[in-house]
Amino acid sequence: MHLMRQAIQGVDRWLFASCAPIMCSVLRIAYASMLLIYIGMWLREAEFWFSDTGVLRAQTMNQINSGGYASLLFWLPTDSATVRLLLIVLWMNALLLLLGCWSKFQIICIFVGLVSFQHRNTLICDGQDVLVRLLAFYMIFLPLDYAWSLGRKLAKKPRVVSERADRRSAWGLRLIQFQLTVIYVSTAWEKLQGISWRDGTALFYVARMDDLFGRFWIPDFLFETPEILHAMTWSVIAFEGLLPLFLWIPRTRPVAVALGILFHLSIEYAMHIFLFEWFMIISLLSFVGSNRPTLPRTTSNMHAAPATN
Amino acid sequence: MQNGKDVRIQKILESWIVSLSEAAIMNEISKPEEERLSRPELARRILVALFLFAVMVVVVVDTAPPMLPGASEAKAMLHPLLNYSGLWQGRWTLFAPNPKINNSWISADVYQPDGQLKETWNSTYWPETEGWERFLGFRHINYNNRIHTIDKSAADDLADYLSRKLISPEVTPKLRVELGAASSPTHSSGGKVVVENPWRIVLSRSELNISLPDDGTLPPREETLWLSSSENLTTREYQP
Repeated sequence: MHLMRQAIQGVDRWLFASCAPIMCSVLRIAYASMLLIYIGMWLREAEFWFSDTGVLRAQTMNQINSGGYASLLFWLPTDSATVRLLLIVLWMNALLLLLGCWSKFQIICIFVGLVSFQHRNTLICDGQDVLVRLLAFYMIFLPLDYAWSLGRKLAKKPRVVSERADRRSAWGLRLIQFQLTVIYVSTAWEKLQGISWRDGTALFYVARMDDLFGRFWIPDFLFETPEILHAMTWSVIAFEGLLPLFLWIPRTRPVAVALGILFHLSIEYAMHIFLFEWFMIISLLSFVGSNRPTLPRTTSNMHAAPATN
Repeated sequence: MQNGKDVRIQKILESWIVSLSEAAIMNEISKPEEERLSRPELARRILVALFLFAVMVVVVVDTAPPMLPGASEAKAMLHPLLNYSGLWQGRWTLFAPNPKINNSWISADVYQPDGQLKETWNSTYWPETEGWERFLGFRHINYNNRIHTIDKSAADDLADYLSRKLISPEVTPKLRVELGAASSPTHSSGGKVVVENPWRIVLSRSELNISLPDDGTLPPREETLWLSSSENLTTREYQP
């Protein structure tokens, strides 16, 4: 029973006393900024990708998926004007999220919008779209307007909860941290199943993906000298496999976050993969500040405090 | 109708939930009164913990390799709900198990009713474009690399789109003609039967891939032998 009590107390601290709520607002701003670009790119070619006068009719997409994926675009008119209007609304949701205006409502709308557009044309989507969509879902549970919130300022709403109470509501960060862990572990495992990753030559093939690779100059000898090639390929697997571990150890977390960011920036330097690396970096930020010491508990958990932002 | 396995899993989950909730409540009761949480706060925390636990289980099941015992069954149970709600994710392959070189493009040969080739349309070949063009056209790269992996009806839709752009905005796809029926539709015009030949679009996808030397060595870039391969995506006929 003693062990059980300790475990319960540990979980309680882990969820309700050790996340930094300020990071929820940092994530909100970073995520919304990237989302504006992400949706903007869809908006440029809205008719081409998402309307029935484009390259894929709604009925075809729904048939391919056997009706198993929900989308507002399967129920609403499929003309170009409707699609464009919905994307403009979605873009406005992202802008209001960035400003911190009724962020909970905005992020729910964004999640529904992302699901709808991604399900409308799955052919143009990849892993980064999954990450963007899941981040939107997890952010529904974050206190997004904790800081730098225009909505809160305009409403002249004082911050009625204490630092401790805000910390209690930041448990949603754990979902993002867990998701990121799963991504790294899953991709390391999947890579271990491939011959080219195991024999250390996978990055040679990556370097020959001329549509995605070669954003900025990288010397060819890195991929043509077997020793260097093997070392780089195996380091990727080792890094992706071990990073989650070091992210969860408080002592190594800051270094792990920094190395993670560096890793994704180096991929961003080398490859054209749209915004994936930036969304991964945003997810890594969820670990920042998570190991702050637990505040001592008192009976007066809730008390009014003036707005500080 | 639930089978025995489902019922067992449900019972195990229920007993876990009850035990954890009981333990949390007992934990609170054992504390000095001034340290105890209020009842609504305790209830909130238990609900949050259970929700988090459920999400974690779902994520693990969704991303687990299907070879793990019970993974396929659990995935089959969860996927309809996850897919519909947009909470699906699947395995994070990210250039795994082996990086697939695509370097692909799509071509459409447009044939006039007299059988002459009118023009050949090619999609952008992305390796030859600037970085900013690839950023703007990233969705096209994905589209080119995926269109052959799913149902042919997606390629039919692309051919229909191209027919509106390359032939006429008013063209309509000709219905598929069953074997044994006439190859061209006929209609009566002023009492005279006219045979109309359709426009035709042949859509194909090509890609460049590496041919490795027999000894298995990896060639430098300038010595790399690229092999081009093409596959037909669809052939569609149109009436103006």
